[in-house]
Order: sequence, then C-alpha cells, then structure tokens
Amino acid sequence: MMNTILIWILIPALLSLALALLQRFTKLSIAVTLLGSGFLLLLAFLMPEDLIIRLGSRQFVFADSYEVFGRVISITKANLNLVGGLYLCVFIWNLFARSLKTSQWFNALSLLIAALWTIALAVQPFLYATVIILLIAVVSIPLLSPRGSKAGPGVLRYITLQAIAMPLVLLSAWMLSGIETAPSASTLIMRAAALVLSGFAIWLALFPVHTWVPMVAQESHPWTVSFLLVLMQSSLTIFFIYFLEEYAWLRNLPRMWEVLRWAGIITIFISSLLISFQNKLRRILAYFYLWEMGYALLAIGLAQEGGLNYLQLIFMPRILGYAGLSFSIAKLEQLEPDFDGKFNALPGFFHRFPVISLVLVTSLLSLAGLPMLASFPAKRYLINLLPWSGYGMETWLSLGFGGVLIVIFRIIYQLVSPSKKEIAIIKAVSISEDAIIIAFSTILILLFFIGGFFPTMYSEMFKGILAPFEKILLIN
Amino acid sequence: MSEIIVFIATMIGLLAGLLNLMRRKWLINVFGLAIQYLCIFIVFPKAEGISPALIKIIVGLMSTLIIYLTILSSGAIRRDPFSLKFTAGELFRGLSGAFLIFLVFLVAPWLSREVFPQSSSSSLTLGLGLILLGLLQLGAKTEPLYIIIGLLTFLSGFELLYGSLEFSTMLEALFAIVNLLIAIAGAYFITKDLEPEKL
Repeated sequence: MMNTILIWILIPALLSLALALLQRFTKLSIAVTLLGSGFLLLLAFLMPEDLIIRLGSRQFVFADSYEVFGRVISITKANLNLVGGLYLCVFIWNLFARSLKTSQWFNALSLLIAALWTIALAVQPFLYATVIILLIAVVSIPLLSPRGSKAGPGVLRYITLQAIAMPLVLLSAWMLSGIETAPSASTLIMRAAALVLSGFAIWLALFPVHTWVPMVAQESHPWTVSFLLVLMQSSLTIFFIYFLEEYAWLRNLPRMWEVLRWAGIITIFISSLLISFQNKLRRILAYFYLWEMGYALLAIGLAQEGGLNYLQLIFMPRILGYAGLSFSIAKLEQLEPDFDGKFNALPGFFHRFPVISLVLVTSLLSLAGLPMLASFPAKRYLINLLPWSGYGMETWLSLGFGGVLIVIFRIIYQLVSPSKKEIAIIKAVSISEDAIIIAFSTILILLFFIGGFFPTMYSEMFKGILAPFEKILLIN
Repeated sequence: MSEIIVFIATMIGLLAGLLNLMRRKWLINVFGLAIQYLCIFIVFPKAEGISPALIKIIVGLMSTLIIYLTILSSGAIRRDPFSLKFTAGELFRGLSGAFLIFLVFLVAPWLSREVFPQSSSSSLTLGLGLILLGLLQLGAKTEPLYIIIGLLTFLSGFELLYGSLEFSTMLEALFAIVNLLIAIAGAYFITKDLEPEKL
C-alpha cells in the first residue's frame, strides 16, 4: 500500500537530496524538479476523495498517515488542495529560477522547503510544526544569501525572529496542553493567548516586527523572495486557522474576532502607508506581502461571516500576483544591468521593455484588487462582509487603498516617462524581450483577467482548503 | 553533593553565556559555547534517563566543533592577542548581561511557583538566563558569527527549559536538526563572507 506521506514528503525530500548532488547539471536539475513537482501537484489535485486511484482493473490505495517517533504525520484529501498549491508554486518558480540567475541550490531547496511546509501542516500534534517552521527558515539561508554575496542583516534578522517566535507558540501550547475549553478570562488562558498571538505576530510579520521583510526583499533575489513569501503566507495563515480550530479557549476569547479584524485593517493601512513612500521596486514586493497578510487576517477575523472563503478565492490570484511582480523586477534587473531598482531609473523602460512593464503594472494592479483583475473578486467579497463599524473600518481600508494606488501610479508615470538618456527609440525597441518572456507574460496577463472575470475557476481548485475547519465554520 | 554540582554548573553556564555576550574573541566564544553545553548536560533533567541530556551535549559540541573547524580552516579570524582590558562596548554588554542574570535570580522563584512548577530551580535559572543572554546577544551584535552563537545560546536555554517541562522524542530530534543546521549556516556565513563578491 502506498502512503500520502511517502508521496508528498519523502519523495520530494529524496529528490531534493539528489538534486543537491546534481546542481551543476543545470538542465537535468530543472527537468527533474519540474517533472517531480508537476507530478506531485497533478496527483494532489486529481486524487479522489477515498484516496484510491483506479487504472483499469488495478487499484492503488493510499494510506493517509504515518507514525514517526510515536507521533502521527497525516495528509488527508482535505490537506491535498493546499499541498497541491505548494507544489504548484514549486513548479511555477522553477520554470525560471535558473534563467533568472537565482541560487544554484534553488531546484533542490525549493522542493525540500515545500516538503517541510507539508510536514508542518501534517504533523500531529501540530505544535511541532513550530520547530519545522524554524527549520524552513534555516534551510532558506542559501537561497536568500547565495554565495558570492555578503550576508545581509535582513536574512539574519529573519532567522532571529523565526527563532524567537518558536518558543512563544510552543510554550503557550504546553501551558494549556489537554485543556480544550476553560473559562476564557482565566489568567492561564490570557497568558497562553498573549504568547501564541505574539508568536504569530512575529511569524506573520505584523507591524512592528515586519522589518525583516523589506530588508530581505532588498538584499535577496526577488524571484527567490517571492517564492519563500508565497509559501510562507499560504501555509502560515492556514496554520493559524488550525490553532483557532483546535483551541476553543483561543477562539472564544472575548472580542477575539474583532481584534483579528482590526489587526488586518491596521496591517493593510500601515503597509500601504509605508509602500507609498518607497522608491525601490524590490521593497514594493515586501510591502505587498504585508498588504496581503492584512487581508488574510481580515478574512480570518471575518470567519463568522464566511470570510474564510476568501482564502480559497485568493490563493491563485496571490500566486499570480507575486510571480508577475517578482518576474518583472528580476527580468528588468537582468536585462538592464545598470538598473539599481529605484523608481527614478525607470523612465524609458516602457518603450524598451513594453511586455515586462505591462506585466509589472498588471501584477501591481491585480494585487491592489482593481476590478477585472484576479484579486478583485476576493477583495470585494471580503469588503462586502465587513460589519457596520460606523465607517471606521471602511475609512482605514480606503486610506490603505489610496496608499497602494499612489505607489502604482508613481511607477506607471516613471515607466512611461521618456528616458533621461538620449537613446533612439528605434534602437531601444524591445530587442531584449525574447519569445519566452513574451509568452510567459502573455499567459500571466491572461490569467489575471480570467481570474477577474471567472473567479470560480480558481476557487474550485482550492475549495478543499476549508474542509478541516468544521468548528470555525460551524460558528456561522 | 549532586545539588552542589548542579548549582555550580548553573553558575558556570551563566558565566559562559555572559562571557560570550561580552567578548568578541572567537576562541573564547567557541570555548564559552562548549562550556555552556557541558553545563546544560549537567543541569538537564534526568527523569527520562540520561539519553536526552546526552543528545543535548553531543549535538551542542558538534555544533561548536562545526563553527570552530570552519573558523580554523578558513583562517577567517586571526588569533587575537589576549587582553584583559575591556572596551566600552564589552563593558556595556557585560553590565547589561549581569543585570539580566540578576533579574533571572530575582524572578525565578516566582516563575517556578506560578508558571513552571515542574521545572527545577537550576533548570529554570540556567534556561531563562541563557534565553535572555542569547536575546541580548542577538540584539547587540550584527556579525553572522556572533548572531549564530546568540541563536545557539537562545535555543539551548529554551531547550533546557522546555526539557524540564515536557519530553518528546520527535521534538528532541527536531531540536537536534535545527541546532546542527544553524551551526552549518554559521559555517556557511563565515566561508561565504570570505569569498569575493560577484559584481
């Protein structure tokens, strides 16, 4: 009998080990990673509910759990949508990882990181995931700080904060081990809640412990950073919901949901306030991560109103947004070696790199949640769920939206402005945008519009994400 | 007799942590780290047998050895002349660290009574002390080597504290992997910083 743990954890981990040895054979390494992740994501999405694959008269039965050191690791059909999503990211990011000159370890480590996130979401008791999350941070070091570059303070701060968050969550869980319900105002509960919420605030990079995100984004390759951030964001939000699902004491805390809603709104507002003052493209990626995190928190805070549906709606648009944004930044840096990433170096780029510029602008507008683009249905859905707060939440959200729009229009203005250097337009017309860039960009832009007009196409892919959260969903 | 040994180990462990926080002499730091792990081995609760404590010291010493050998083979940091004079920074870090240790001794009885009744006073004192000294080191230094030592100190303190509360083989295995990987990351940072930057 086969086992889901073997398929989605052990095989990618072993593949990653083999790829670490094969890293110098670039083409082989890419091919193995793409085939491996492609197979894993297809199998995850196509796996039937009963975990039995029938091929003619033959049946392949998959067990959904495995015991390690007396603890159970379990991947059920309900988890497979998210696992499939993780391997989808591995597949998309590995398509261009080597051509964008990321670390030579990218193929191997991207598979390993996806496998580790899968363990983090599958281990029982799920508290042990806290250590695995720190493990993921340490494993990411060669990607974020590849050889040939100095170790920046951002990477070190990232590892440090991940290490600090781990004990907070682990201790809180120990404090209340065995207690599923208790009077919500007891000192013990309040202590544990303070610890667990502080731990998650650090993990989710909420203000003011968000500083590592822009630092890392500035120091490291945008393609790598976006890969790590998209996996982290998707997995951590689900992990946080696991906590709320498992611990009644946490979800029954007085005004817990309201606090989460406001935490989301404040994160959205602060990230957009900070983003509006930025003048470097790489940092925009970081602040959009925080902006998306704000919406994710808002969705969790609106769980009682059905806000969690946002998570399945946003999954694909977010992947597309990060991919488009980081791809365009990385390509611009690659094609224009003198480009230092600052906005004031962008003039003339629209004439010279029209396709990449279009992807950049479309990705930004989509992430912002503009109509007709992929993120719009999810964000509109969420805003429609906001309870009446005397225009309080709406005001802050609108201000937040304003900040993001300001930075996007600044970028568009710079892109379409004529170049300061005297470069003849004819000479500068997009000779550097090859067929692969044009094809990928066209597909991305099409996917943004498909998501905007037919949101159910993407939400159907990830509809199973919410299946394990019966208790939270029952609150409705 | 054994209580006296445990008490002495607690004090030496805290002093080693303080020394690591204060001085920027790589040989002293690596030696301090090794002493720290030795003291953790002595103080670590033996309710589950000696093997958890043995794992801690083996993993700890291996981590220390990884860092030591990397520094030694890369020649990254030359052997500094030993000096008893303290710089202003060292004095500041030393005083801050001493204040933290004082704070730990002050707060430990209350914590032991109210929050961690399962922990022995020595586990709690050494664990908390190392956590705080590690945190201070993480905040006070920016060089990768010292950040890694700070991380190892912080984690070793937490492992000691958590080990006195609960035992899980899987968690022990995960902690061991994390510690070794952090040491390897430290070695990676040390060798990487020696390479010429790619333009």
